[in-house]
Order: sequence, then structure tokens, then C-alpha cells
Amino acid sequence: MSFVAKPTITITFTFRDDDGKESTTEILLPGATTAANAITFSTAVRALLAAVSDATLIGMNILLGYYENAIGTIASSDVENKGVLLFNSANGLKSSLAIPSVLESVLQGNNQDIDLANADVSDLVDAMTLGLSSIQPCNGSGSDLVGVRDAYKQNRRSHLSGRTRKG
Amino acid sequence: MGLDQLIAQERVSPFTDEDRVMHTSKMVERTFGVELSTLGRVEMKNGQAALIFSANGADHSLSWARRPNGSIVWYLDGSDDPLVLGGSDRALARLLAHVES
Repeated sequence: MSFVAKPTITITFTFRDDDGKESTTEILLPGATTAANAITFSTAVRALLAAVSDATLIGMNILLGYYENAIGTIASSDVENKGVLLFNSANGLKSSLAIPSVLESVLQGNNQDIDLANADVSDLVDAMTLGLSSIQPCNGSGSDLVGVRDAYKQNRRSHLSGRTRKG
Repeated sequence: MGLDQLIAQERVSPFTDEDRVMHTSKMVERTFGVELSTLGRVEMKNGQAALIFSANGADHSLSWARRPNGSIVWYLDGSDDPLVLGGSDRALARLLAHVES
């Protein structure tokens, strides 16, 4: 089992019409394209797409995908049990990370709060709030995450793989 | 050697010493609200990143740890006695009070 890069990089463009409806279209690039070159291409082709549409091009995402190429037996787990880490950001806004199927062993005695002194949890929090490989994660407005304000287990509905769910 | 230490020895940290120095530098600046260089420097000491600073003519070291509830505690000169310093001006005043005590 190993994580491998997808064979393509996906660029998604989002258009909005005057009724407020939105639609997306994708362009694929070879997976060997560097991230910098993908940005250069996307930025250039964006203008070409806009030139042949009378909707407004409102967004562009570049997705570098990776996937597990040999999924083995999956241990007893439940992705609806999230471990929620709620972060403070330097600009005062909150940001959260919800980890599917959080380990019971990282919870405190009340089986609800996450033990932030647990070595694995603490490493994750350090990576999020202090950085890893000289990269510092941020919130949606680009402000550094600087600390944890709350950490707890929460049950949230999942998406079922390969079939739809009623109710 | 206790069980916790044995487990800690077996565990591979995702962080390099350089990461740990960066972490403690950021933690110092966020806690005390001043540039690191005005307080001292951060370096690895006994396998742990620590702020090295001088006060009242003596050198001191300050390391930190996270409690289960997420609060940060500090350890002065390798002591096992956790110090709660809070933030900004008060943190610096509390640290100096502990250094002088």
C-alpha cells in the first residue's frame, strides 16, 4: 500500500450566469506537470475560456490528487465519529479540522474531549499551529492558525461509498 | 527508565530539530508578544527546544509543553514544576518573578 500521485492534475473553472446559477468545467494536465507550470497554464487558459462565454468566470481550482493504490482490510472504524479540532487564528477567526473516525485512545476520561497532550495529537496540533517543514497552515482568509480553542469528539453524518443513503 | 519514556523513545517524531526550534521560537513570540531576539535565542538542549535567556546576570532555559486541555505550561531551567504564564506583558512579568524567586 502506498500513496501515489494521480496521473493527471485537474483544473476546475466555475462560471456564474445572470440568474445566479453556477456551472463548472474541467481541464486535465499530465500529472508530471509542476505545480508552478499548472498555475501558469491555468492562468493563461482562463482568459481563453472567458473569451468564449458570456457567463462570468468566478473561480478556478487546481487539484493535485493522490490516492491509496492498494486499500487493504479496513480496521473497525466509524468515519461519522469525528475528532474536531477548533483553532484560533492570528486574525481572531476560528477554523476547524474534523478527523474522521478519531481514535478512542486519544480521548480524555470523559470520552468526549480530545487529549491535547497525547503525543500524536500534540504533533498534529504543532504541525497545524506552529508549522511542519517550514510551512504554516492558515484559515480561509490566509491568517495563521495559532492555537487550539477546543477539541472534542462529534458524530457527523457521512457519505456512503458506492451507494446513496436515504433519510 | 519508565514506560512512558520507553514508548517515547520508540516513537518517531515527524519534526526535525529545526522544526522544534521554529516551534518554540513562534511559541515564545506569541506568548510574550515580543521579537525573539529581544529575549534571547532558541536552541536544542537535552533533546528539547528551549529559550535561552539571561536575567539578573544568570543564564536560564525555558521549555514548554501542552496540557490535555490545550493550555501551555512552561518549565524553567529543566524543572518539573509547570509554570502558567498566560500571555503578553503579564507572561513576561510572571516569568521574571519566577526567575527572581
